Amino acid sequence: MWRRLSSQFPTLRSAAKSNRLSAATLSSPANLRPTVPFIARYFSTATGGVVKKVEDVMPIATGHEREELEAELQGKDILGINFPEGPFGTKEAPAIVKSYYDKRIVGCPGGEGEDEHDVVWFWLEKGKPHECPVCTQYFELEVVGPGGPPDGHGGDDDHH
Amino acid sequence: MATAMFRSSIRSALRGGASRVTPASKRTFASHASVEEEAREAAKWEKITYVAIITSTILAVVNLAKGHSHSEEPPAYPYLHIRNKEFPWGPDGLFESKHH
Amino acid sequence: MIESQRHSYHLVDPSPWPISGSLGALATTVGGVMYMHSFQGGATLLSLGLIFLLYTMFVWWRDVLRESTFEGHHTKVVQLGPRYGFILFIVSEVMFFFALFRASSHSSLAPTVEIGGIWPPKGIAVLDPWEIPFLNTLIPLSSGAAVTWAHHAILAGKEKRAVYALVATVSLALVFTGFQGMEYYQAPFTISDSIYGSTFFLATGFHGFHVIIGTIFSIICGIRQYLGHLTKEHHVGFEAAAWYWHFVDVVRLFLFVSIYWWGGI
Repeated sequence: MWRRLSSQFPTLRSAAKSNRLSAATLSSPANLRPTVPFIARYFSTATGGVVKKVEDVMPIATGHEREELEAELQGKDILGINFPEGPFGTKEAPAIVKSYYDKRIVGCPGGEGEDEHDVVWFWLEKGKPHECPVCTQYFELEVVGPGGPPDGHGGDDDHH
Repeated sequence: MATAMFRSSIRSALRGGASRVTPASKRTFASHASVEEEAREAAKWEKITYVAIITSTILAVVNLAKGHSHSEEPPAYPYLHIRNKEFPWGPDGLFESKHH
Repeated sequence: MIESQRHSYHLVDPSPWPISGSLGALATTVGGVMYMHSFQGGATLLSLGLIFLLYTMFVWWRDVLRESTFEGHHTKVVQLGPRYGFILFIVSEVMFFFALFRASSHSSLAPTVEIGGIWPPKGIAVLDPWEIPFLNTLIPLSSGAAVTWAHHAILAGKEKRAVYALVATVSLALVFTGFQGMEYYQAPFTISDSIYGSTFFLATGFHGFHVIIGTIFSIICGIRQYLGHLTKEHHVGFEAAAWYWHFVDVVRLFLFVSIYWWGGI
């Protein structure tokens, strides 16, 4: 039980797993997101058939809760750019971190096994590759969203 | 019984949180069992509730029929009926009845 | 898909309730002290503070319900917050009650000469634990069974049955409070009768207060269940009420064993 509980805390999680790097946007600083859509599987086993609509699962769901449920039912992860994993980044083949904005907070947990170190957090900015001062892992930012400053309250933010 | 119930609910609570993060744990997540299983559990606890209500009612009737005994006034020991100052609402305490 | 927000967190809007709640708490504390020391206007300030506090609680929780149920801000991650928050709140409550039990056992394990060197103190006529106290332990346990019934009914999607189960939960809670009030009026000792009366009424009184809070919590859950707010996928408020109710149950069990039974024989 405690092992599972601890798996929800971002640093413990990234330390326990052999994540090569962990990243977070400014507005979503912790790696708390579920990585695999469990609801889709759960409901398909519970009802015998595959559920497609949010209305079948939770009719009163609305807003972001509804968007999240819908994405999970379609087997998508609405935050697919989180939890980046991959081979150790080098100058020739840097570790690519995707971002919706022009910069993003990234944590480097070092290599695997013996080479692992405490997570070192830093700002990774567009066009400015970063080398981890501890393990020399090399990072590069790839902007997949609208870019601009990640102030968490961007101009297109109309969540009401 | 209550302790066990409390513990199990806390356990399922923590598991409930965890299962959202680690899909591998969903098999052991008791309170997200199938709908039929939940319906059976609900029926079971419904019966337990009825039995408990009936038992409580019988006990209540027995107790109320018995009435309560009136003990005689104890000697005025200094540690009884302590009054350092008056209550804000007057001389008597809130649940103080003087007809025992 | 999500155009407006690229994370599943809930960034709350500015709210006046934290400051209004703080002011209400300040007025309640100052008013309470003034009232207990018979200052002029103490009762007025205390009442105003309590009204302010209760109003803040109402509107703040109303806002939370609007954000979660009607605006859908409580995604899976957001639901973890109140979950852990409530578990930690219950842990703090456990510690609070531990102090009350400790006060009781401190006084009873080695009774001082001032109370006759015995427990219960000389001259204190105690309640028979197997009469109303035992019944009033059974009733919260029955209520706990009813809330478990409600939980399984929600998870099974039986919304009407869940409402009935919550009605049973609340009814049993009200019966408990009624019997407890009767016991208080008939008790042969009062809070000012030695350390026995002090610890007895402090512990059982705070438990009774928590029962009343839990009853209100369950009533709110019953209303929300009736209105269809609680679904089998999302019912954090109900879960919190159920945990709280079980916690109050367990405290009553300890009260019965250590204060009524062990401390009263």
